[in-house]
Amino acid sequence: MKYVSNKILIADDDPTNLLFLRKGVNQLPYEFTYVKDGEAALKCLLEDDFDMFILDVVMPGLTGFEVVEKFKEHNPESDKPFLFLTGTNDQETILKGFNLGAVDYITKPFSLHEIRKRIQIHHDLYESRKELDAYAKQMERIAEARAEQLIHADRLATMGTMAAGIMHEINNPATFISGNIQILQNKFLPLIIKILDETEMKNNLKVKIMMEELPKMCEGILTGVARIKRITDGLKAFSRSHKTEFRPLSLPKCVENALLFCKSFIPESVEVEYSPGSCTLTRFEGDSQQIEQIIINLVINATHALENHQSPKISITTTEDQTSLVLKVRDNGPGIPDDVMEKVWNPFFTTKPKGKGTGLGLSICREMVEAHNGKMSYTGKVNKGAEFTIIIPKMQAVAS
Amino acid sequence: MSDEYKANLLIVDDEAEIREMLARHFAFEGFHVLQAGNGLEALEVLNSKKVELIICDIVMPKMTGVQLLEIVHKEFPMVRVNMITGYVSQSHLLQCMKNHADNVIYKPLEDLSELEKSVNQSLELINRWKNKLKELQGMKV
Repeated sequence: MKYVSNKILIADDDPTNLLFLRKGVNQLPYEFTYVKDGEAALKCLLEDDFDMFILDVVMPGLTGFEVVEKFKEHNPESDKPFLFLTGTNDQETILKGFNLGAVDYITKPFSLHEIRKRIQIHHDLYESRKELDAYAKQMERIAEARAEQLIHADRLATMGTMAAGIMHEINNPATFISGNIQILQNKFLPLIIKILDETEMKNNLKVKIMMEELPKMCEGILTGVARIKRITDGLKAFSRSHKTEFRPLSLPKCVENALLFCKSFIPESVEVEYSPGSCTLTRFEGDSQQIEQIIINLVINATHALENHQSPKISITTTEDQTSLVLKVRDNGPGIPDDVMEKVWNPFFTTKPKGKGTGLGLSICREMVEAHNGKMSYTGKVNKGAEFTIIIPKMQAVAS
Repeated sequence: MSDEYKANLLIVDDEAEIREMLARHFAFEGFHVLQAGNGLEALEVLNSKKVELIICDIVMPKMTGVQLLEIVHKEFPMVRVNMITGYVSQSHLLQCMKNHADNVIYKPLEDLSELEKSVNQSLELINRWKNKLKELQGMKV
């Protein structure tokens, strides 16, 4: 790969010298520009991009040294190689040239052979330095990306440990709330009713209301506990201690369960359409909890994309071909712009305001799909809404 | 112990609210209920009182439920144990199986009848052996 072009500038006020030089270097595979004074050289250097320049030191107007000084004022970062042509073997001049950053000098009278060689060597050196720079930058980028991945992995692991801890902490209070209510509902209440039946108290209005309401209150509390349990079950997907458990299951059934769970998150205005398509009967080996989690994530993402939409719609399809089961979740929202799309699979990337999204949804989804040896991809088209496609190989499909 | 109780049941859980809730439930069901907040306390109870059944949490400070189960299996082989846990792992499950727990039931125990049924089945096993011993004594007479 070429990292530098081949443009070289030569400045000398002596037309004979210039002619001689031109003759000497024209066989080299570079594009030469010749100028005959310092001003012209500086103008060229500032306006065009040369890879190397060779300047006569003594020129009317600007000297070669002054050209370099002025050029560096404008381009302090420049690392372009340059050489001076000096008329004498004057040590002081040569030293000054080197101090200005010259890579080499050539004393007149010069041999064309030598000049060709020097130009070639310095051009090659410059080229390899550029190559090394580019390579170092590339390595730096790779190292940075790897470090970022490691940090993400670490954060995910921390989240996983936390999730397991939270599950345990929530399960304990849920246990005694649920247990106490079950005792009240199943054991104490029937006895209370039985005792009341035998007394006059049963006709008291307040007692009547109480006896009507007590079972409903118990039911209400138990429904609450059931919901807490669903949340802790949901946390299991984040918890690293959860291993993917493959069991025969049906994809449409997973979609139905997921939609049931999502019901409370989806605004009524959003039309949700599901067609089980051709795969109603096929069962496959999978982790139902994970598959449901994936669908829930995608549906919730879609509802977020559909906020402020006139006629929001989410459609889910499940189909199968000879080799795989295919799940598509589509919405009629604005779709995902290309620049955002590049990053959506990165953990912790989110377009949602701070505190609204963890940025983990899609990366976890993809991880779970991959745990099923499947592939998850974005298949939406510009201005046609977003669409995610999940393909799970049928190798895991089992006869129903 | 008076005969009005079905059996002596020891409930071991470091979470007092859960322990008391279970005690309530099984007392109502006719058991004589004893309580312990960890494995060491449970051993004290086992050494000083007659216990036939244990309901035991797994993750507890000082001594885990699994460690307690091992000791019970060795030193009190007639005592039957049902484990309950909010933190299910395969290794826990296998250790419980190896040490002859009758069952492992997962918290949050959203249906207490599962635990109740399991404890009653354990009790049936105990009673079966008790009856066999009685039969044997009857034969001798």
